[in-house]
Amino acid sequence: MISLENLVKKFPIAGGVKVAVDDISFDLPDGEFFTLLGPSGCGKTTTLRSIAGLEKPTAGTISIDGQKVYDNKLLVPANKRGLGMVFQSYAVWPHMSVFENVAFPLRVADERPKRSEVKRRVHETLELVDLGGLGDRPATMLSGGQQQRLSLARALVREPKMLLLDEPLSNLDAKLRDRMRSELRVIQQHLGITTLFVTHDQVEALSMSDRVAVMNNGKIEQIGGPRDVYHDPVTAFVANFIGGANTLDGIVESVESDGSAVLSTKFGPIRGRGLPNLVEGLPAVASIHLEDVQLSTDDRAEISQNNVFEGTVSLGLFNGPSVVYRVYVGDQLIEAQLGGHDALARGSEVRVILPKRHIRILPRGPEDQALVRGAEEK
Amino acid sequence: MTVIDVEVEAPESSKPKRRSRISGKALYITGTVALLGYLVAGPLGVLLFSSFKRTEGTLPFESESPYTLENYSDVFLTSSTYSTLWNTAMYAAGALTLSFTIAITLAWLVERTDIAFRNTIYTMVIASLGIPAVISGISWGLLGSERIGVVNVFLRWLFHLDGITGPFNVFSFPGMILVQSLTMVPVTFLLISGAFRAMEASLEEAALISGASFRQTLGKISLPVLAPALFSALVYQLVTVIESLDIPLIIGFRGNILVLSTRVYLEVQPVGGLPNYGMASTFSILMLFVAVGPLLYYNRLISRSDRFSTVTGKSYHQKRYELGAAKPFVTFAVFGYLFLALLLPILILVWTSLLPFYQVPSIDALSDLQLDAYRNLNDSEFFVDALKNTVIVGATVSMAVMVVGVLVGWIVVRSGSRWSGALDVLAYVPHAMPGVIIGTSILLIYLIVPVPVSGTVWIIVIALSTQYISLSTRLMNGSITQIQVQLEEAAEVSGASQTQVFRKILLPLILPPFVNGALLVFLLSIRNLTLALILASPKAILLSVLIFTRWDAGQTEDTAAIGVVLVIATVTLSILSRRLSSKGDVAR
Repeated sequence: MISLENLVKKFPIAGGVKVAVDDISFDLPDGEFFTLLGPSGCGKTTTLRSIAGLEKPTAGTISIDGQKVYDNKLLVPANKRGLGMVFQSYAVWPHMSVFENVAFPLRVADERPKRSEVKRRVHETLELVDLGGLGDRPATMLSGGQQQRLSLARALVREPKMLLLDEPLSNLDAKLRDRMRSELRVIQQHLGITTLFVTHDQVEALSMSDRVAVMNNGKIEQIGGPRDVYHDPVTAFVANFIGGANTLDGIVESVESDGSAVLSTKFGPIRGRGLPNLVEGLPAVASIHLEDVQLSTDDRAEISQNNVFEGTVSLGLFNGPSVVYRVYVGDQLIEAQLGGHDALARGSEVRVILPKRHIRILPRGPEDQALVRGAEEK
Repeated sequence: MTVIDVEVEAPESSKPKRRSRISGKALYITGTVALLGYLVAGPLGVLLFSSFKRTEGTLPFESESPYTLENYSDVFLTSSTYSTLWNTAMYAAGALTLSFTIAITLAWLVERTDIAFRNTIYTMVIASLGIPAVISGISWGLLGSERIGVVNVFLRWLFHLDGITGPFNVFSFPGMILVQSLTMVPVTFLLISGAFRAMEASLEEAALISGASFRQTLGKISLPVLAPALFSALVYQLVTVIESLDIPLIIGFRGNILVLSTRVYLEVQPVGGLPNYGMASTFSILMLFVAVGPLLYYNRLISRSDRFSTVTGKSYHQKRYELGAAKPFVTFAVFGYLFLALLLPILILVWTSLLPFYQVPSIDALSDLQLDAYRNLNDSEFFVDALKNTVIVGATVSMAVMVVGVLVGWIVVRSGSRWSGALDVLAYVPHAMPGVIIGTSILLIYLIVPVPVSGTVWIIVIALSTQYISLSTRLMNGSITQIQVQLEEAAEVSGASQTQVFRKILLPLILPPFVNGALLVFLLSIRNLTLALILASPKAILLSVLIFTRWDAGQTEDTAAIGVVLVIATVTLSILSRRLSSKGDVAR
């Protein structure tokens, strides 16, 4: 459906050039819900705007539906690309009614449908987004959530080749956001429309997408299904940005033939699943999700064997379904997420168990470390 | 928190203390209302009263002046009144059309496209705000006079035209409209450029994505979305053009074209004979209706304006429209305009001031250049007095008006007093009162009120203050509204009294807009000709009046020299005020 090859976008800034999108490529099959995920400034919105035709890339090619819309000789303008887009600010036109907003794409079309046809399609689309009966309202008399649906209806009304969503949920409050996540996905699956979604929220990305591309500093770090990027991150940045895993620094001690590896840390060796590109003696990190860490008050668990360590509970944050405990192993902080029924007192001595099958050992170059630190600050 | 609540909840013991504080606040509010009422309602009453008195050489309050309806019949039953009205309408329509076309184009180019030298263009437009209308009029009189106007000499040379006059005569209806438009462009630009800047680019982008062409986007999205801002600027400038006296007097009068403002002025300061205050008042009332009508309509419109507010998100960086191949031509055209509107008038002024008598610029004339006009200024008692008066008037008016602005602003925005609505309206009325009207009525008031200000600069101070109260209260209302109420509440909870809150929290926070507003009022006061001219007397001459009278007497080089001095001051002030206010934006 859409294909990007070696897309580059540079912006002139005071005292130089900023590379916002640094040589990225991907293909989207028909009907896929594809998400660009990354921190602010990673280039995800610029990529989406380049596809929309709102930004002129510096190099590369973009094709939609087999037709080139951009390469070094060609630039199809935004109004000739036949796409639908929902903006972060919704961009609802304040001087028009709900109906007029949605009818606009039909009314400016080269082949303008008949009046009755416009009416029918607008009403159908408004029904689809659950705004049926509100057509006569001034657009500014809608709530935030309703404006968001209106913006979606406007993007869908002329049955575009593809739907572009630029952080559409970030202006909604938490409850509404949860609901809109599932509604958006239901509508997308119902229409089977190819969708490119841009967000900085990993929960949105994981719960809605068929595939996710994690971006950082203008580059794609990893593309894969939500489960792949969550459970099998390939870089320390991905591990940290998605799901905020514990990342424990160390030096690679040994790499076994079965793919497992041992990381030596300041509080003892950690065994886990290693990536093929690990090199003995170089810095690396062990990543483990909070919910995979086990805490035990049973003294019989053996220390220093099979990733079992002695720790002290310093804080417990109960949020209903679960409790997040901050545990210190020596001076290393490890966070663990336990079921809401577990209760540990502050200061309790516990065994911290890091199951080998849930640990990924990822190489970390000096550049990587800087990236992760940068992401953490954000 | 209303005053009543405080009293009910307050324990018995603290009641006496509360009472004294409340009466202090009540005193302050009553005082402010009374002051504004005196400044604003007084002139209107006097005007109405005088319009029913027959005054041929007498004053409206003297017993020799009988009550009469003759003024009204004289005004409304004379065909010349209707030709004046027609002139006024055509003048306003022409000047608004031209100035808005130019200002909208400039605003769009500067705010939304990638035109070169954006900041320079912006600064030059702002600088031209500093050129007083009286100077524009005189410069264009020099540039565009039929026989010796530089523009005409140049055009005749360029196109090898025969004859010694033409092709263009500034002392004509089109000439008057052109010059008036040029003087109105900077303010119009300022009024609308903010809207161009603030408009969410995503509104236009959404239209493009929907398949709309550039022209469809412009016509169906951009202009309608900007319509409220454009319309409010249009109404504001309509009042400006109706009340303007400078250009109608300097350009129009010489071409025998009268508009309402010149008619009022001529009744008060006739070329020969005695002033007829009754007729002037009646004309004023007619003029007031012409100016107030659109304003009322506008107020009704903005009361429904919430319909135009939108949800705004964190906007992506504004993308500018790329002019592409047209960029050099467009940039060149804009600088061409700026040369015509800003540099050429100043250049001709400087040139004229350096010659013993006016000559068309040429190599030969260079040998005659001299500084005599400036030396004369230095020796002229008139000039030194006028300079002193101008500074005194500017400083007093700007301080007085801004202080009143803060007092009124606080009552309107924060006090919760039942007077706040009335006060807001009262402070707004002078905006609709053309300068000639304010001038005339204040002249009349101080003929009866036994305060010895007539014939001194202080009557000009009072008139200018009345005129600019609407501006200062608007500025201060806006600034006070922007300050979060919690900042003041936090101080109150920390134990500060209302006076302390006012002094220690509110005042420091509004100091930057206060200073900026003061600069602006200073600038407007010293470039104002209308009030200074109507209320002028031998002991109370301001620079603007001196320029006008020298010009009227045909002393071109003196006029030009004083003009140069005034322009240096006003242009500096306008750039300075802009610097300050843009700094304020960053801080916020």
